[in-house]
Amino acid sequence: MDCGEFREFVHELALENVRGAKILGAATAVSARFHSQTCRPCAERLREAELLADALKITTEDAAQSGTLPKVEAALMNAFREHRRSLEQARIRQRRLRLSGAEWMAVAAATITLAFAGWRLLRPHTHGAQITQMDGSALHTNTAAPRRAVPVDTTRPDADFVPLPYGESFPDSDSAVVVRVSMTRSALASLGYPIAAGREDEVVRADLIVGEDGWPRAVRIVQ
Amino acid sequence: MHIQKRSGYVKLETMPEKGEVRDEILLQRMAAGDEECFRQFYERRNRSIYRFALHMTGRAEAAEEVVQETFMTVIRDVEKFDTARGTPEAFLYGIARNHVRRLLERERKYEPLARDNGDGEDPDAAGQIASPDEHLFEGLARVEIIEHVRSALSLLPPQYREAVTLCDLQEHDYASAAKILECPLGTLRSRLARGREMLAAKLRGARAASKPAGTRG
Repeated sequence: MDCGEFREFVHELALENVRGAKILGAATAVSARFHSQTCRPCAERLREAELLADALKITTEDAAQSGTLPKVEAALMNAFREHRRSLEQARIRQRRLRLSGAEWMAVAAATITLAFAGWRLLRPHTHGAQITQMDGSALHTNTAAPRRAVPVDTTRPDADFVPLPYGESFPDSDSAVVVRVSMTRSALASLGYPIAAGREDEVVRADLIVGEDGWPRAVRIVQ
Repeated sequence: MHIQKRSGYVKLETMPEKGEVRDEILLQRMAAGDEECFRQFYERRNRSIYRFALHMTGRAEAAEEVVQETFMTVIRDVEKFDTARGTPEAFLYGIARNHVRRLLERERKYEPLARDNGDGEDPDAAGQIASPDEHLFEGLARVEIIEHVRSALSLLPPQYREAVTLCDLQEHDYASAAKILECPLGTLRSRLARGREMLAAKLRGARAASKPAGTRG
């Protein structure tokens, strides 16, 4: 080891000598120690470095004597509690905002429902639905376009319309609608309408008075 | 916290003992509002931060202020701690270093060395050997030595002061100090070597100035 290299390691070597710590590798430490024994200037460097290491050690030990900081600790604990409180409050606020969001959604849903109900009440009655027969098969309905509801004079059910024998009570004129359908004569017969024999497959056009429940109450042949 | 003797030298750093909750866990629980975890973390770490601040600022009141500000920042920003980015120790020291820097800037404590070459190094100081009758601390009492060291340390540029403080006054190993200072190991070694040389030079200067005129060689 030359003086240049020694200078590089002198402080670590001094720390090892003063503190007994292992900082340098064994080979480097032996080589550095040997150099300091054979080189007077480097021996002086090592001595000075040892004095510095010793002074640093004394300073370290003095700092280790420093006691607790009760005022700081108390202030920090209060600050922590305050911070935690503010976090909790923020969480509650967030939760409230979330609840109010749900409320807003409920209000929106209620508004949509009311608007829909209003539209249903105020719109003209149209029906294009199929009418189900008693045996479950569908009647041939003219569904090309929804038909306009025709006010029915339910006080005169005998005016062209033939009440169906097993139909329930005649519906109110407000709730009943007339639906024009195409249906076979056999389907008419299944509703209880008298037809001539031998023409069961013939398709006829008929108006049905349909109650609110979707069941036909009376029928009229259009032809 | 524990202080243990190891090879005749005081081991200062307080690390979690076996069975104690690790710092990472304490920080996580603190973030969830666990006061006891904050207390544990504070008790485990406040002294090392205090000593670091004391050596960096040279004043006990300033060190107390740094401790308080550092832990206040921890309370506020504990969610920012990320194990992928570093250790809890590096996180804590990073905050403390920022507060120390701010405090030093505020107080303009740092005085540039004479003939500073821009890197904070006095070109004449490095490698200089004291004459046999100018040995450091000769005839000085313990208290005076401490005072001299603190005073000389406070005159070092912060990057050298940090390296000397962490490695020589707080016994961090080089790897741990490099992590705290967020610099490569080689940079730390270089700062440490320069810092020690500059410290020795400052102490020599202070010693020469404090000696009575008649006793100088």
